[in-house]
Amino acid sequence: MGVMTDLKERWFVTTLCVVSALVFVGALGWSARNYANVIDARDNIVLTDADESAELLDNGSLELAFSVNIRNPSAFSLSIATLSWSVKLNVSAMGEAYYLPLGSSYKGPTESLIIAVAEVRTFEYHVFVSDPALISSLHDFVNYSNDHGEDFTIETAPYIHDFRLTAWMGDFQHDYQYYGELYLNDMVRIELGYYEGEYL
Amino acid sequence: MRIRLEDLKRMITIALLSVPAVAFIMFSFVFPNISTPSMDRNMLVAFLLSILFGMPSGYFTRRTDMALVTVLIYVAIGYVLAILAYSTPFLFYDFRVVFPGLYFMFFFNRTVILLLLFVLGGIVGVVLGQIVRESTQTEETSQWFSKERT
Repeated sequence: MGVMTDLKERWFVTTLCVVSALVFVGALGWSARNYANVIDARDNIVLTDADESAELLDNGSLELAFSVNIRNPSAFSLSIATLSWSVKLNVSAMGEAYYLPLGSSYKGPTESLIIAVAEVRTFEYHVFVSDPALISSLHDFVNYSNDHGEDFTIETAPYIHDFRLTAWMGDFQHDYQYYGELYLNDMVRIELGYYEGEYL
Repeated sequence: MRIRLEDLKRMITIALLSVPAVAFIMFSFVFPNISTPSMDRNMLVAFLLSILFGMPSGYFTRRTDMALVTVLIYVAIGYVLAILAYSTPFLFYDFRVVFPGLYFMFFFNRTVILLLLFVLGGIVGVVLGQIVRESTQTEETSQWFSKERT
């Protein structure tokens, strides 16, 4: 008896087998597509249009501002886990590096923030430096630099903006603890940054 | 063991019924978080499913040696299909494989136990499938002879 005749004769079991095979083909195709989308998202979710500015106000305070866009063209929404920004000035003359911290902001995982599919979100930060001691230090830095061949003003000093973002893709599980499973967390995590004028 | 062309066709046809399950479960074990549905690397579920998907080989094949070869065939084809699914971003999209040497080793490392489990479960499934077939045939025969002859 040929195999097709046998399969037709036992049509009930054959139908069960074919249906289960089709279900698993669908599940495999769907999962492989998810996998390709995840890899695609890791490449295409980017920070763009970073903008830095410094302005000396009439009252003598310094306003430092930073903005950056995150573009999410992927098939998944992003849940922001941590978001941090800081601005500082490198005031080291020689030897060990010394930074003058001027402002910072941090959002932890408890503050839920979702970036939807195809959304472009802008993050903006402002800090007003009004502490006389800090303003005085900035003036000292500008004067010292200019004495050594630079041409800075308090508004054009090389402030260093440091922006970091960590996010999770979609609803994929990402709390694996064992060493051998950490790649699963890494796969669905997006880490982006901007530091000293460069996207990381 | 002598295998005719007809037997080979039978083995491959029956094997194709179990291939998708093997491929999906392998893939799911490598990426449990992005596969749907996910078994979350539950070995017991995988073993029970491997028995279930070994049963068609025993049910549709009278010769036990051929049924066992069918198990090996569907596990092998399923494994290859799982590797293709694992390579989807690199085969069908323009992504670059970062570490080609470690790439397949990584997959093998995650699925080697499962591979052996599928062969073992398939063999158990063959025995169960044959028992179900014989019991069905016995029932059919007894019903046939119990019919009134006209």
